[in-house]
Amino acid sequence: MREKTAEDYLFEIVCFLIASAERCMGPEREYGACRLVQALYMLSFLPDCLPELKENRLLMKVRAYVDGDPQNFWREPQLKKFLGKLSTELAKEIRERKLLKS
Amino acid sequence: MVYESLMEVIRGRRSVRRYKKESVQMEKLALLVEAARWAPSAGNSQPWEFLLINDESMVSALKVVSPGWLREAPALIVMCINKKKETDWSYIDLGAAMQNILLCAPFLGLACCPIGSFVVQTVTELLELPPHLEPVLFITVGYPDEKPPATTRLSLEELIFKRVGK
Repeated sequence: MREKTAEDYLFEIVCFLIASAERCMGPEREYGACRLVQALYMLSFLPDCLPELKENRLLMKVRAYVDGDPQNFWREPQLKKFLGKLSTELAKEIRERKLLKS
Repeated sequence: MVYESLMEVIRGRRSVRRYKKESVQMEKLALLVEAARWAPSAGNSQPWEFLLINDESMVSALKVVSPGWLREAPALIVMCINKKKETDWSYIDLGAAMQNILLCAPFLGLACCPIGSFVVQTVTELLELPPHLEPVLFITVGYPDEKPPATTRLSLEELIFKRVGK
């Protein structure tokens, strides 16, 4: 099979998001947060296909988190804890990127 | 037959999500379905049909519409309900057939993971399924590249609501 291009990869993410949205309207109503984290996980691989894109620190944290326990990453207590930590990191990142005018 | 030998297989079963790249021969997938064939079903209705897929491009196509499917797998069994044979117990019957597949897999050196998360309409379209076949379960199949630890189970005492009799 040929190498995945950025276009292929983007298409996979689009399919994933459409499929997730469809499922979350039905039997997977409770999976919303988990599917969003999976989408972040998929985005973390985008720089592999788009070399001009720098690795994103937050996305790499998501990748490490999911890879660290692929069987259980979606379970609520640990996912909630991780997202809490990530949200703190997010504040740091926003400051570093000087999005805050203060 | 020794009880403990069977229990070893049952207790040793794991949902494996990381597989080696090695492809799985069609004959082996058929051997798994042979195990499913002998599952019990309501009134012997046998309400199931199976699609065996080891074509890389089709496996990839189905994976992108299955949000619960996290990693690549070389092969897939799609379990369908045959609407023409459906009864109120068909989902239970399919569960029994699935378990036969999962328990049989390690004897062929294989591992599996059942996945119920996929968009039915898209899968029906991609596989060109006739209206009487409804896909209800994916079972990814491959040669295992991980040994997940056992997950916890409730104790017998928690499960048995009541013992009636001596």
